[in-house]
Amino acid sequence: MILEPFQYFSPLSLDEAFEILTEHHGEAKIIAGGQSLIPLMKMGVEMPCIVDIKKIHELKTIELSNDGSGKVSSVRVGALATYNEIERSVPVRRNIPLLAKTASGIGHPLVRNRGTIGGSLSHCDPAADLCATALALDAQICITGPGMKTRVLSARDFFKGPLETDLHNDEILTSVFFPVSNMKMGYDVQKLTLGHGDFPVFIVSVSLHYDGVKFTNAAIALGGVGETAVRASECESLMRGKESITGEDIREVSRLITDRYDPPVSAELSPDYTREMLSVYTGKALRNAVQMVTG
Amino acid sequence: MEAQTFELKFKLNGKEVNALVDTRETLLDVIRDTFGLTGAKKGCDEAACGACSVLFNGHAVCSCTMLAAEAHGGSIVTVEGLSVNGEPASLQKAFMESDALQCGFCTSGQIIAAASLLDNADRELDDNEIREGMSGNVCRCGAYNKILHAVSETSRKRKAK
Ligand SMILES: Cc1cc2nc3c(=O)[nH]c(=O)nc-3n(C[C@H](O)[C@H](O)[C@H](O)COP(=O)(O)OP(=O)(O)OC[C@H]3O[C@@H](n4cnc5c(N)ncnc54)[C@H](O)[C@@H]3O)c2cc1C
Ligand code: FES
Ligand code: FES
Repeated sequence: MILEPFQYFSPLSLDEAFEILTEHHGEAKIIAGGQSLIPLMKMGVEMPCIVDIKKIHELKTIELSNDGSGKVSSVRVGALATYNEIERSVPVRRNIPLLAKTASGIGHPLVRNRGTIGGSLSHCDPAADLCATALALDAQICITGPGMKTRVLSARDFFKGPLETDLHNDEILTSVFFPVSNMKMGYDVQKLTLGHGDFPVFIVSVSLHYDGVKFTNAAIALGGVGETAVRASECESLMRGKESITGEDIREVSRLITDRYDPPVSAELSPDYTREMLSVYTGKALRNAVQMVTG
Repeated sequence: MEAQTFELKFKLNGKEVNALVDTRETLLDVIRDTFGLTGAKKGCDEAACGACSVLFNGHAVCSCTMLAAEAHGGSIVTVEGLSVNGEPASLQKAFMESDALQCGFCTSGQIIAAASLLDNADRELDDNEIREGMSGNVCRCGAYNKILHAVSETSRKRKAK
């Protein structure tokens, strides 16, 4: 039950939304899928003014976007795209399959029919599935504020800390750009959860690009091991540029990851177990990704 | 702050309805308490059991984790709205024929989740797809195998049509 009263607004356009956000400065809170916000409201967190952005239709679109020469350069995913819509989207499945795969594994289907990419990234839980995958895919976050002032920043610069981002409270995350690669892709996402549909304890998201000769890009993003999702850059550089990634390489990367990152302490799991699983799941994600490329 | 109200209008089981609600009310509370439709149940009240599932614009959602105001202008179908001319729908019949319940507390949520899954699928679903598709709906009596049977039978029959 929600106890604290609040005003509810449902603007039909971004302009109207910014008017409300400006008028109720500091008190207004955006609601998207509500799958994190409503539980918080039920816990008694006071939110005197709720601004529902779901009637702003332009925030729902998922589309291919071209660079100047007409070549597809990225997929633009509107902030309000739900996990279910992302999972089913043809442009996403075709061009950014890791994003589709990640979305299809979040929580359970009832949550996936509500939760949105904009909400998940703005909420910025350190172990959220999409935060890790947005980092692995070098996503660009598009933010608009009053006066339609728009800025774009990388996922890396957007995530600031646990439940903390670069968003100001009169700004809206409007869309997320995922760059499209014409290289061969290998990818996987693996996570440890206590039970099916539970929030990840940690998550590993891997994206590899292969140009036919060598791995031109190797991205490993980890969620749940720090203040925000992080890129394991020092491990990536061990793989980038290589012509092949062997089982021994993968074991070394997995070892390095468990040396450098601390999986979270939980009441249910012993630290040794969680650490071992971080190594196991990193290895599994990398092996699957490499195998997709080399067959 | 004083309690705030919201002039809510939406389609409930095919009929346009309206009500003056408190902004704090969840969709589940309004469906049960204002409209007296008690098929959707309050189990956990935190999106963890699926007993409160309803179809919102054709997709199953937890009505406990949705503000009633968020349903404004949308279409809600509860388990009461699935029957055809007062007769249980084929999916509901399959639940009865498969004996897919014990206490029945989770059943309306299970049926709604299954309806969403089947309505949004373009082919016959295999058992694993059904398990994953229904994984937000907990059955504390453990009638899972029979629930799976009911849903897969319905999926097979729909495909055969
Ligand atoms: C049972 C359950 C299981 C879950 N399991 C998982 C899981 O396995 N993995 C996982 O990653 N998540 C999980 N979640 C969380 C879920 O993914 C949430 O949907 C997500 O954290 C928030 O997205 P939302 O659209 O629901 O946002 P909301 O709850 O509406 O908002 C979250 C926050 O983001 C802000 N916000 C939302 N949209 C915008 C925007 N466009 N611009 C600026 N600010 C915005 C809001 O003000 C709020 O602070 C689970 C949730 C539940 C209830
Ligand atoms: S009552 Fe809504 S999910 Fe349990
Ligand atoms: S039949 Fe009792 S909870 Fe499912």
